[in-house]
Amino acid sequence: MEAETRPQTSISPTPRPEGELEELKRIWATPRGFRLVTAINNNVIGLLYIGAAFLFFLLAGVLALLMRTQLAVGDNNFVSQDLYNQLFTVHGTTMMFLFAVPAVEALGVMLLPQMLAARDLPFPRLSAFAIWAYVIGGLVFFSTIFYDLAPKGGWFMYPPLTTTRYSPGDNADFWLLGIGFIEISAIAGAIEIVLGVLRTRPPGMSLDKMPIFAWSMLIFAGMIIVAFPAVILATLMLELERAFGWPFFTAAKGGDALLWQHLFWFFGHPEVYIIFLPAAGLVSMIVPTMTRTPLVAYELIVIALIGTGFFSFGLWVHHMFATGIPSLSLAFFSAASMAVAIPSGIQVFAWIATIAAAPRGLRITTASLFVLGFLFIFILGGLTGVMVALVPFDLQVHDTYFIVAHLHYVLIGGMVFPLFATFYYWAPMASRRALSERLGRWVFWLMFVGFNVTFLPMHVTGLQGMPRRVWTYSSEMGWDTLNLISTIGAYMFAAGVAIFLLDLVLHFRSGEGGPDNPWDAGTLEWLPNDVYCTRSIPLVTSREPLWDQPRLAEDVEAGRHFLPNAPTGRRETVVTTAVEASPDYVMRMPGPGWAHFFAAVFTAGFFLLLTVKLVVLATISGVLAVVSCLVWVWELDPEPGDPVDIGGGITLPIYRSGLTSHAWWAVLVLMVVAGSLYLAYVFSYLYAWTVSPSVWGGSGSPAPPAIVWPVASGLLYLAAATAFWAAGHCLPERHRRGILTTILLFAGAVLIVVAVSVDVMGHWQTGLRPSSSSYGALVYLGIFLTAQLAAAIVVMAMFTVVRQLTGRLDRVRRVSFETTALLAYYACAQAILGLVLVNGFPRMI
Amino acid sequence: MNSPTSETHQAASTSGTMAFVLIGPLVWAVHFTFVYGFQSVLCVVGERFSISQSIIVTGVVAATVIAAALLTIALMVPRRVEALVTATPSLPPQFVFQRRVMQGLVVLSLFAVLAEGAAAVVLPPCGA
Repeated sequence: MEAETRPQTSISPTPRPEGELEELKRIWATPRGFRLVTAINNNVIGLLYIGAAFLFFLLAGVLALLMRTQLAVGDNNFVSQDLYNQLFTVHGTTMMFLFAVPAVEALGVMLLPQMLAARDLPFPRLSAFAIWAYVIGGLVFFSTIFYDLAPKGGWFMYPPLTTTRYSPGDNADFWLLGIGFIEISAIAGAIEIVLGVLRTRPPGMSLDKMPIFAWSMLIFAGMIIVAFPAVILATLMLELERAFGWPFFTAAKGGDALLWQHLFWFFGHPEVYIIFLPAAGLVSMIVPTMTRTPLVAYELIVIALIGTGFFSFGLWVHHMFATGIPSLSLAFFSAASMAVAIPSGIQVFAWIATIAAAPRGLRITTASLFVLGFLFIFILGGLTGVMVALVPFDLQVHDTYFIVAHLHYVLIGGMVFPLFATFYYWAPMASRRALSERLGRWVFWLMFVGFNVTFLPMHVTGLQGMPRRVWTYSSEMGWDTLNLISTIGAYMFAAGVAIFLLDLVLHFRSGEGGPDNPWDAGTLEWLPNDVYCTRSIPLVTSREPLWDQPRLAEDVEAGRHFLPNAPTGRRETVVTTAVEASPDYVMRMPGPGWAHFFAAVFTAGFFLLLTVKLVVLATISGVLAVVSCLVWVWELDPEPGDPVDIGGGITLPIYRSGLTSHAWWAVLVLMVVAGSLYLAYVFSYLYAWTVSPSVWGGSGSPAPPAIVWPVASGLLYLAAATAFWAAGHCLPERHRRGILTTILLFAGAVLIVVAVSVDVMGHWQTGLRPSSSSYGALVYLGIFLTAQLAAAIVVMAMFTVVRQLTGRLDRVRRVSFETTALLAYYACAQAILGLVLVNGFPRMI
Repeated sequence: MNSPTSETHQAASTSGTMAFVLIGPLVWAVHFTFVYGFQSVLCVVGERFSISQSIIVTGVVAATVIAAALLTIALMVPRRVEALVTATPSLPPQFVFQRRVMQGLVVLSLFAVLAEGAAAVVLPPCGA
C-alpha cells in the first residue's frame, strides 16, 4: 500500500511522554450528573443545541398537522379561528426562529471545531450561554400556545394589526420580547462562529483550503451579524409603541406601518439565505465524499457563497412589491433578485458537475438520497422564486397559497432535506452507532413523496385564488380536493419524520467509539476524535487532507502534529492568522462553570418577566444576569506566562492583547452588530421624515434645542473618549497599581453618562415628548440606543477598575481594559453621529 | 508578545485582503444604497420643492457609470488594486485564489449594478 511506504510526519517527537493523553482527557472531561449543565465542550452543547432545535421542529410540525387537518375539507370547525391564528403564527415563528437558524448554528458549534481540528471554538462559554438562553426562551415562547397567550399576527407580526389597538393583551409582547431575546442568542453564536472560522483553523489551512462548510458558516454568521440587528430594532420599536405609546407605526402621529416591513424584511430576506447557505455548505461536503471526487469549481462555490451573502441584502423589498412603492425602486430590487439567482445556480451546477465527474458515480446512501431530494425540491423552489421576483407575476399571486408552496419548497427543500442528509452522514461522528440505512430509505421516500404531495398542489390552489392564513373556506370554492391531497401528503411527511425518530431511538448512542471515517471522507472531522477533539492539531496541506495524506489520522492520533499535550495545564488551542493560518499564539480557554448558565437563566427571566409586566422581578433578574456575566468574564484575562512549545520548533506566546487578539476581534464584531443596529435606526429616522415631514422638528414638533445643547453633549463625549485613551496610556507597570488609571476610568464613565443626560435634557426642555409624534419617538429612541451602550460601559469600566485594584490589570495584562475602551470609543462615535443627524438634519431642510 | 509593528502589519494585512476580495460586493452595496436612497428621497423632496425628475435619472446613470468603471478597473488590474488596499502583496498561491474570487465577485457585481442602472433608463423615476 502506498500509505504504508510514506514516511511518518513528526512535527512533535514520538513516542509521547507517558500520562500525556490521560492529562488531556482529564482537562477536557465532560462534567457528570447534574453538573452536565455546566459543560461547555462543543460536542456536548452542540448535541444539546441540535436536540433542542429538532424538538422545536417536531413541535412546529405538530402545529402544521393541526392546520392541515383543519384545512382538509371546506367549512371545517376542527379548531377555532382564534386558535388557528395562533397556530400559524407560532408554527412560522418556531420554524424560522427556533428551528432553522438555531439548527444550522448548532451544526456550526458541533462540526466546526472537528472540521478545523481546533480543541474548541474560541468562546465556548458564549456558545453555552447562547444555547441555554435559546432553550429557556424558546420553550417559554412555545408554551404560550397552551395558555391562549400565543401571538396571532403571523410570523412577521405586521403592524397596525399587532399594535395594542388591534392586538390587546400580552400575546404580541411574547413574540416581541421572546424573539428579540432569542435573536441576541443567535448573534452571540454568530460572533463565536466568525472568530472560530477565522482564528482557530489548523496551521496551513489558508483560505483556499478551508472546507466549504466553514466558508458557508462564515458567511452565515456575517449575515446574522448584519441582518438580525434590524429586526431587534423593529421589535424594540413595536414594544415601545405597545408599552409606552411611542408612535413609530401609527399614521395619525406621523408613523408608518411600512417602516416595520422595511426593517423586518431587511432581516427577513437574508434570513432565507442565512438558512440556505449552511445547508448548501453541508451538501458541498457530502457530495465529494459520496462521489469520492474533489468538489468541482471550489473557487466558484466560494464566489457564489459570498455573492449570495451580499446580494441577499438587496432583495428585501421584493416582499413588498404590492405596497405601492415606485416602480423604479421595485426594479432595483427585482434586478438584485435576478442577480442572486446566478450564484445559487452556480452551486447547483457545481454539485451536478461533481456527480457527473465521479468515475464511479454517486454512492447511493440515505444521505445522498436526501441530497438528491434537496436538488430536486430546491431547484423547483428557486424557479418559482424567479417567477415571484417578477413584479407583475408577484402582484397576481401575492398572499396566496402559491407563495406558501414556494416558500416551503425553498425552506424545506433548501434546509430540511440537507439537514436530514447531515443527520445520516455525520451521525457516526457523534454516535457509537450509525443510523440505519434501511430505515433511512423509508424516512427519505416518505418525506420526499409526502412533501411533494403536500406542497405541489398548493401552487394550483394559490393560482385558483386561495389566500394564505385563512381559517377555513367555503366548499363552493372548489379547493376541497387539492387541500385534501395536501393534508394526506402532510401526514405522509410526518410518518417519515416519525420513522426517523424511531431510528434515533434504536441506533443513536451519544459518545466516542463509533466507526472511524465510515464514508472514507477527506476532511478533518473524520480524524479520530475524543473530548479534546483531535490528539494533536494537524498541519494541513490540501483541501482534502485525509485523501492526500493517507497517514494523517495515524500521525495525528499518535501526537506527531501540533500541540499534542496541554503545556499550560488547562484547556487551550492554537490561534492562527486569519488569511494564511500561520500559528500565532496559544489561547487558554475556560472550563465548565455555572456563571454562563445562570447568566442565561436570569437574562431569559428578565425578558420574560418584563413581558408579563412584573417589572420589579424583571429588574432583579436583570441585575443577577449582569452579576453572573461579571463572574463569568472575571477569569477570561488570565495571567500572562512564558511561551510554550507546540511542536515543529515553534514556540508561541500564551497571552495576546491588542489588534490581533481574539478579544479585540470579538469586540470589533460586536461593534459591527451595534453599528448595524444604529444604521437601521438612521434609516428609520430618515424614512419617517420622507413619510411625515409635517411632524418634524420645527414644523409640527418643537424645534431642536439650541445649538449649545448638542455641542455640550458632543464635547462631553469627546472628553469621555479622551479619558479612556489617557487611561490606556497610564496603565501601570507589571504587578503595580496606578491610581491615575482608576480616576480616568471613573471620569470616562461619568462623562458618558453626563453626555447622554445633557442630550436628553436638551430635547426635553423644548417640550418634545416621545409619545407626541414619530419624530419625538425617533429622537428619544436614538438617545436610548446610546444610553444602553453607556450603561454597558459604566458596568465594564467599574469592572476594569476592580481588576486594576486587585492587581489584574497592567500594561501587559490589559485585555479587559482594551475591550472596555474599544466599546467606549464606538459609543462616543455613534453618539456624535446621532447628535449631527438629529440636530443637524431638521436645520438643513 | 507580538511587537506593535507586527501586530499592526498583521491586522492591516487581514483587513486589506478582505477589502481586496470583497471589492465587487462592496461597490455594489454602495451603488445600491445610493441609487435607492437618492431616488426615494428625491421622489419625496421633488414633489415638495419642484425638482425635475430628470435629475433622478441622471444621478442613477452617473452612479452606475462610476460603479461600473471602478469594477472594470478592479477586473483588469488586480495586482495594482491589491497593492492599493493591502499592506503587503500576497504570495503567489494565495494571490491566485484571492484574485480569482475577487474577479468572480466583480463580474457578479457588475451584472447587478448594470441591471439596476438600466432600470432608470426605461422606467418612470417616481411613478407607481
